Amino acid sequence: MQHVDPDQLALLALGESVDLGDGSAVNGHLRQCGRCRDEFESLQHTVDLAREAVEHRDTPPPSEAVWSRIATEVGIGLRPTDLPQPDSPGPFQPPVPRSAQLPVQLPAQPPVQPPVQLFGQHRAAESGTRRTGRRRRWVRPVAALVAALAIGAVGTLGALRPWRTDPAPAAASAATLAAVAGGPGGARGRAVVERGPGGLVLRISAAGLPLQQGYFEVWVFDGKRGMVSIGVLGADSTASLPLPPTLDLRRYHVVDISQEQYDGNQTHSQTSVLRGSLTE
Amino acid sequence: MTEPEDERVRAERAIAERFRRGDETVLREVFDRYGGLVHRVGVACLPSHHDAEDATQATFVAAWRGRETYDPARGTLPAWLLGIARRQAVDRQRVLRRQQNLATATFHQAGPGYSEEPSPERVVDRLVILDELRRLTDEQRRVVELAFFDDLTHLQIAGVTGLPLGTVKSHLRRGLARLRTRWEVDGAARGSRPAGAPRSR
Repeated sequence: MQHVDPDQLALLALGESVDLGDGSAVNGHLRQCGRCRDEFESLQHTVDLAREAVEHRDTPPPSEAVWSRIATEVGIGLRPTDLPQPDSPGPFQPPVPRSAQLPVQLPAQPPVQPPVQLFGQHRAAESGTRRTGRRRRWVRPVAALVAALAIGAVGTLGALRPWRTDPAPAAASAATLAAVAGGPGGARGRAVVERGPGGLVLRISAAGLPLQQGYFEVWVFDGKRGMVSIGVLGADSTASLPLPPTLDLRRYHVVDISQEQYDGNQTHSQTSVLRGSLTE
Repeated sequence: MTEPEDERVRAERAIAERFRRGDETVLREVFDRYGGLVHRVGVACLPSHHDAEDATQATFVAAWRGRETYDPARGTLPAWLLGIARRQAVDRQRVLRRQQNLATATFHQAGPGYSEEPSPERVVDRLVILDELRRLTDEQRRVVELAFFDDLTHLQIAGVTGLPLGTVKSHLRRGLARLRTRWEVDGAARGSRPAGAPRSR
């Protein structure tokens, strides 16, 4: 039995009509030959699927917001890329010099004086200078000092600018806290911002946190380098923590819970166990 | 009889390998490259844009968390992602159906070709083919798309493209066979046949 030419089968599957001369022979053969019939039907099915696929071609891709939620949920891209991962056998990590690791920290202190005042104080001290050139030389180091203060305390200035004029963030936002990649897989939690009599309060409830000798610290994080420490969890893995009244929750919108040791080091341990983004 | 591999195919294999190894930086690339494909499943199968975005998010999260279960020997990364997307769509359809308390008959497709409420399996099959189309050579893809989407005959395609008739027929035969093979390997039902006799090997 002469099987159907593969070129012809493809054309038939595409729905092209075949020469009448060939046509009846081809149809006859297909009726009899299971192998060619199978071939023909599977090719035809492929054509059908492809033609149906047209309606999907114009679907717009998912938005950046979807990526943002994915990254938050799996804990990617929220740290500066030069931070090390918590120790775990999973993800591949490029080696990192230790000095480049710490996120900018805000120590728990009263707010620093705004730089304007500092500059003014210094200028007052040099009022005795006569020559413009000399004053300019003073100005540069002061500017550097101000800049260094600003970089060193960006958390302060960002979070606690006394001159901020934005209204307080809306209350009643919440976040589902998900386990961080490389962290304890069973961890989960919830964070809710509520308005209490004294101001906004961040209520945390968590479960599945590992038993350990240290404690769990609650942070709000801006997704880049800024973190503000809000407090610690109690023995039952919950906490009700007052939020600073000038804290911009739209900027510091990620709640992060870290595992900490009593090492006297107030900076983030780099070991996050839970994280989630606050949404209305 | 192997065809020369595209740069694109090489790049995709490299991305799949980094993904499996857990290189964090690759997830964004995977999202950029295959996000559209994955999202189409949700958009086609679920009633609202919000549901589709939810399903897409859940797919990539599940994929990342389960990355060590991806085996490159068993299929391409987009095919694997489509499998996860399909399960997400099926689960969400089930939940929505329960919520709306509709008779299941409303949601069953009548059979292959029923287009009003496509099953996630059918959508994945279509998307697998759509994805494979991108892997054909430019010339092959052009010929095949003219036949599929513009309904040109091989004679008309030769006229439009200026290619010899033999080349056009060869592109159609090999292109179609390649798409069929991809569907057999990566399709939702893993090689189940359309209504008719099972394929003999």
